Amino acid sequence: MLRKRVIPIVLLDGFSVLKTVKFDVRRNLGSPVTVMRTYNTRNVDELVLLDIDASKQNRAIDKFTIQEIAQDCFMPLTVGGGIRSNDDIRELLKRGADKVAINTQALLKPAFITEAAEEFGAQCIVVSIDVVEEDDKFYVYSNGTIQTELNLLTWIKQVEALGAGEILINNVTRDGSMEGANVELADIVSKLVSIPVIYVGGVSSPEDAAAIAETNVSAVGIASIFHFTDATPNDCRMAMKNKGIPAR
Amino acid sequence: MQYCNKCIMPATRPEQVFTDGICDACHSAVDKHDKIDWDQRSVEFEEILSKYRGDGSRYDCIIPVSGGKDSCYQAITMRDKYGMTPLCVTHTPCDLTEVGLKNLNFLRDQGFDLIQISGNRKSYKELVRIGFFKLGDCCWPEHIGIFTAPVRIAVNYKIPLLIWGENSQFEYGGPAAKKENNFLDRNWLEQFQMSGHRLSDVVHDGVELNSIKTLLYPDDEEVNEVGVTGLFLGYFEKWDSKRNTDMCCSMGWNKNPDGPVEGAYNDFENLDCKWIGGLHDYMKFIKYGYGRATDQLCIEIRAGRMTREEAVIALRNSSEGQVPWKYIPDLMEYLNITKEEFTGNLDRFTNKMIFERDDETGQLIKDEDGNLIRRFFPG
Ligand SMILES: [Zn+2]
Repeated sequence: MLRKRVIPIVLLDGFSVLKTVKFDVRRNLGSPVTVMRTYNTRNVDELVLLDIDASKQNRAIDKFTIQEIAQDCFMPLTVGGGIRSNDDIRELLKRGADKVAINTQALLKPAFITEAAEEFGAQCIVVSIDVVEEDDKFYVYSNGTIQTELNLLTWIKQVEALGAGEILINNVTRDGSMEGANVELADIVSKLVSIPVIYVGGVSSPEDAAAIAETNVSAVGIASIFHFTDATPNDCRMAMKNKGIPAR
Repeated sequence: MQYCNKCIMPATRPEQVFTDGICDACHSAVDKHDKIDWDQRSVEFEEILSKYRGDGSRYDCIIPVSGGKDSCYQAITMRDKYGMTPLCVTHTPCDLTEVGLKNLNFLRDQGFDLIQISGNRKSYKELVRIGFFKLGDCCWPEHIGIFTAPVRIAVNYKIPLLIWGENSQFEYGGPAAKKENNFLDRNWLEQFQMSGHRLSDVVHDGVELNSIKTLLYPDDEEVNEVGVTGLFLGYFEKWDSKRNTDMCCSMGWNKNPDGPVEGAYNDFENLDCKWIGGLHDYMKFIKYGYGRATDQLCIEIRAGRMTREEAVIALRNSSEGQVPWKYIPDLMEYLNITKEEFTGNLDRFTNKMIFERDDETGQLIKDEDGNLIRRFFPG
């Protein structure tokens, strides 16, 4: 069994690191360089950096900010936000990103996933999918609304078939709540596809992260408990090892 | 970059929340002046204090002090207005200034007992290094010590009540749940004072936790055994920094002898540490695009002592954003680093979205004095 990864998720609004609650209420947490250096110190497996305002503002995540972060970031770096073309991807890879995350553009133009994977290799294309829970069902969420006409599981299968190298599932309903991740969602998605799945959303403690890691997911993405409590990625890896799950 | 429509604070300030174009701090100011029932809060405060108040033979509360105008006000007020018997506790800053020492002596001269906590300075230096290079904050351990040293004394001397000053989340903006809080605990410290870093992280950089005992928040067990309660005075009475300054000055407290600290607008804040006034605030400026003058002018606007227009002009005329060279050589010598390492680190922390840069390389563009060029200014 492959080692399960613990991935801090760092959100940006163009200027600052922030943390959302249910993709809505925001807390500004300051400098991305500071956050990166702390995670560097903690020797985490990987870092995901997403500019959540880029698509809305018709721009891509700032290449110089990425250049600054990548310069001494020891961890593999996945970068997303407003990526619309292979040129955008090329620029970010040139500035030091290892992988890119595509969300809005994948929904608008699914063929883009294939184009990107063909040019840069599937291993560097992550498709990020925002999910909401409603009446015990899961739906794709985009542009502030539930995409009722799109079946989540069909979309996930399609993303895999189109050539994505990895899927990042972001649970909007539990975002920032620190009230517990949805193990069922992690389980369903990770059994559905054979490419790696990262589950993000609602992790309440290192033990909760370990419960997610018990499913087929390859990684657990975490933000709030790292920002707001004394829990560290190392605590999460320890909790996983305590359950007999291989972690670094 | 968004600025508050009432004051001149940008949305880049950490923990700042904007509603309808107005920052939290300005919303709080309205509550403070018009909505909060301060008489009711004062009754509440007296109820609490009456449970702790002694007969003067022992200390019945701890006042964390820096020697600044606010902490001197807290000590004097708790004793003279509320009839308490405070023990003042100060945490030695990174590099104490002359005027800072004078003001600590002022407090003793006012008749207070003062305990000074100076933790292991060898490890402290390593934490300054971590703060400067990893967190973009040269005074990182100072922010921690200010909050842990008094709690440590509370636990060891079994003095359960701590009186902090203002609730910065209420006065300056922060998440809703913490704004209405009247107490300070370990999680408060971790959320707001530590730049996201934890003391468990410094072990990775070779600093042993055993060598920084004064910076470790006491265990829950110790805290609960004594029943440590940290209250914000600013929750129970209307906070007014000018009132605090005026009162202290009338009693012989000292403002900064050479006028405003570099980057600041007034001459009565952040006087105790050589680096907290100048460099710490400048590092804030390069990360978030605003410095100490903005902070101070916002307080003036919210107190109704200045209009927004006057503040914008005063900001233009202030030294905010100029590299504060006065005490930088002391820091370079203290950390044994070159000027290149020093400026290189500042450039790394400079927010590439906020300042002028070369469009191809991303290289920062500076003026002939080596100062950054702002792309945004409150209009
Ligand atoms: Zn404001």
